Amino acid sequence: MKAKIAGWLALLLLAVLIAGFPWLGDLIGERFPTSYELRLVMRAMIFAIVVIGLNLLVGLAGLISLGQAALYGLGAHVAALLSLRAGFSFAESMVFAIAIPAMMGAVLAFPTVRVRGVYLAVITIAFGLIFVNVLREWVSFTGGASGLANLPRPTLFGEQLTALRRTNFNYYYLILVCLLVAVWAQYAITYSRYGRAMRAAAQSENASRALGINVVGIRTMAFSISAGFAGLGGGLFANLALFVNYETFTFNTSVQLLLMVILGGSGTMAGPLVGTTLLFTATQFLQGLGTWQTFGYGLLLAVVLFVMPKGVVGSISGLLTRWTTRSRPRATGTWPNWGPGMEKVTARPDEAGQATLIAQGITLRFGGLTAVNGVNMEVRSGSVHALIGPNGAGKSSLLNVISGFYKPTEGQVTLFGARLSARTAPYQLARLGVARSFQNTELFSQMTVLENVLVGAHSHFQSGFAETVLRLPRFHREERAARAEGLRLLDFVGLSEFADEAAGNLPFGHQRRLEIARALALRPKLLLLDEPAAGLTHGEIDDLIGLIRGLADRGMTVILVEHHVDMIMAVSDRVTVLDYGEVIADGTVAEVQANPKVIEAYFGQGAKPGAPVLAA
Amino acid sequence: MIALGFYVMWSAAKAVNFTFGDIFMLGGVLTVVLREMGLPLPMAAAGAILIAVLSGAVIERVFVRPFNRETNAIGWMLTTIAVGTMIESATTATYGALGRAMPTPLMEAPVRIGGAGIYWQELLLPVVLLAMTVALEGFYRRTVLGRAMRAVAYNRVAAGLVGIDADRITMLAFALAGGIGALAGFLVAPIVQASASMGVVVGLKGFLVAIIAGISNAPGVVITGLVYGVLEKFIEAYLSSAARDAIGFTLMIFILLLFPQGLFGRREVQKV
Repeated sequence: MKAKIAGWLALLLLAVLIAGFPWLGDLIGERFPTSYELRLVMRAMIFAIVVIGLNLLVGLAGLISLGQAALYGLGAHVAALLSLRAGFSFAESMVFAIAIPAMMGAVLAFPTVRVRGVYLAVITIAFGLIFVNVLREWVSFTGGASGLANLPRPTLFGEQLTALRRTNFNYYYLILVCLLVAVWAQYAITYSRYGRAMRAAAQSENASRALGINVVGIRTMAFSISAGFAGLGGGLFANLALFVNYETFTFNTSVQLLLMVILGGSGTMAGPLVGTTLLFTATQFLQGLGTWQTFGYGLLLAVVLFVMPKGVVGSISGLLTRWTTRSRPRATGTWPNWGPGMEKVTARPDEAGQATLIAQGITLRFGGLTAVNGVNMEVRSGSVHALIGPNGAGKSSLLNVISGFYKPTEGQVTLFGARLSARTAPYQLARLGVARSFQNTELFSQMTVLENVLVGAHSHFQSGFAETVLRLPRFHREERAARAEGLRLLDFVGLSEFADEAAGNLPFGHQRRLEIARALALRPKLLLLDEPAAGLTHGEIDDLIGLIRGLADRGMTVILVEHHVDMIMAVSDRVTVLDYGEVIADGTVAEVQANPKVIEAYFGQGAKPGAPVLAA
Repeated sequence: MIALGFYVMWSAAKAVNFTFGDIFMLGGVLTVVLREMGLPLPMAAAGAILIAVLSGAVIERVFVRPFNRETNAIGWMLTTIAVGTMIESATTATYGALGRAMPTPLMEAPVRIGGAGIYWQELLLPVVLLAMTVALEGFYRRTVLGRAMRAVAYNRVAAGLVGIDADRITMLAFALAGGIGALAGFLVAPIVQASASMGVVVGLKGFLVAIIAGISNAPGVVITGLVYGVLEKFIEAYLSSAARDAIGFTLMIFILLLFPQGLFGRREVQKV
């Protein structure tokens, strides 16, 4: 809380400093900030706006864009062309200068559906090169190397916007306002379900999809927002310089923008401001180096990555937290802890006794390998249904078909009474009420324990993007409710004391608990658990049995993939046994235990029927 | 017409490295510089390739390895970009921004085949390219070192567990890639003139070609590269040479959207 207040105070101080800068001359009695210096500060502010946008993309969504300068340039050219050729007013052309790059960003983000990391970076570089190439060669439209000059001076509400120290410098304040709005938007997006979803998608794509996050959508959104910021910066730049050509927006500028993000500390609030200030100042000195200037950027980027990969702000805040936080003993609570409020998570009275899931003839092939072969299965609502079988029997594959991660080669899944089309994505299933855990826990390890659970609540929010950025009352109401429920769920699994710890720091058993709490935040009707007992101690397994039984008794349907025989005996209402992808037995625990095929699958031929195969 | 197909040669090396275009450039530029210092052509070429091999290894050791530990690939990507920028600007500053011609005996007289003039040098390229591809395939499939490289590319940890020094193998791969890149640069330099800026676009094109072909398939990379080279020539001839790169890149991005695994790549099954 203290840090937050300090942050806002620092921002206020910075805003006052920038606002007062033009008047500095009156104070010290010199003609210091001339129009030239004013312009430098204005250009730095414009850069900061673009960098803030890029920071959202790099720091939150974990996507690298090396074509950001092209989006910046697109905004500048849109603004320039509209006011020069079409006679648009300043406000009108600015709207398009933001909207068109934002759309372009969405188009560019489309490859993120398929490619990530290096590939995406290369695609953005290619986009940047295409952009510059088109600008340079399409002389009749963009003026080629001579660019677009003599833009009309912008006016807003009948007021001419100028940037001259002597007469009038209202444009200076307009840019400052834009910058403050950008900082606010960055804050509002980061600390909302959108920011959490972006970070979640960057850290574990599978888990995000399983929690109802449309990963493609959220990435497109991140790209589009960051492109919108770039466009805003570009439009402001065009109206400041009153001249644009391609040389301002080359690959080097993209590298420079990215360097500002990294130098400041990607993903931090103050990073973009610090990074831009530092690098922009450095640039003024580097300019004397001529051809070696680019070399300087490269060197600086390499040095920053070696010395402080988290950037200035990231490194400092890392040190601060290390100094200020003492490690305190944290008590792990008992679990499951059925406190008040848990009935909200589990209550489904309307569905009792119905078939939650019907799988018909599910076959899944990978190339020539058949992982699941013609499986029929029916899971009753409110029951615990175990899926067992030797290693490689196709249990996890079947679970992945049910949760939408694999598309069955043949067969039909009916869920909650509705037939699923083959195109239903995992996130859509999650929103229908299917939650799952993973065989190897997939937590968002760099997010806090509470944030992990909040990501699970993503799809319960009603407030849209505009409401979130403007922080309207409904956003606050929903955020508060989600936090309360998140804490309740953490209390349920006995982790409430760990709420602000990074999830990656938890011991393994606690990670399993957290994963269950996170899945429950979805308020699922059907919970899929993939080997939840693996790696747990005996005591923890007993607690887990209590938790699963308790959920089922309160109306939730649970499908459990597990090797742990004691546990299956204790919790299951029904057991389906798979071997080589086929169902070899299906029935109650006692029926399955007596089935000779099951005995054969586990112990090989010749084992005596009736022997205590699956007995505890 | 086929002449541009050689662009690809080095992309068969399969190393993802943003300095690659610049090493390619170094191959050409260094040969010119060494020749100007009075070395005969073969010596100059060998020297350039040697330096490129060394710099490939150094780049891996200094700039890639420390950042390769994290699953997030951002770090090394940025450092190689940083190094690439440094190499290019340093070359610009010391060698000059303009291209210099590199005379070779093979450029003196064009051969006439059906009216179109082609230099021996341009014919040499596809030949060397084919030889390199065959040699590389053989190296990857038949030799212990080649198999080790494939193993490391597939799974570092597992390769480490069976006794392969993954770090050294990676370094070797970078060095090998450096050598191939420089060889390509040396071969192309007489045709396009050796200049500091000749690397960037070519490096990017090569990488895109490699991705489109499906990065794990050497013959596929070569075929895609040849097709792309021919296509570029056609665009140049029938549309405009100015729009060549723009059209080419746009096309490649679209192909990547349609075939995310690449034209020749196999779909990787995602394990959940």
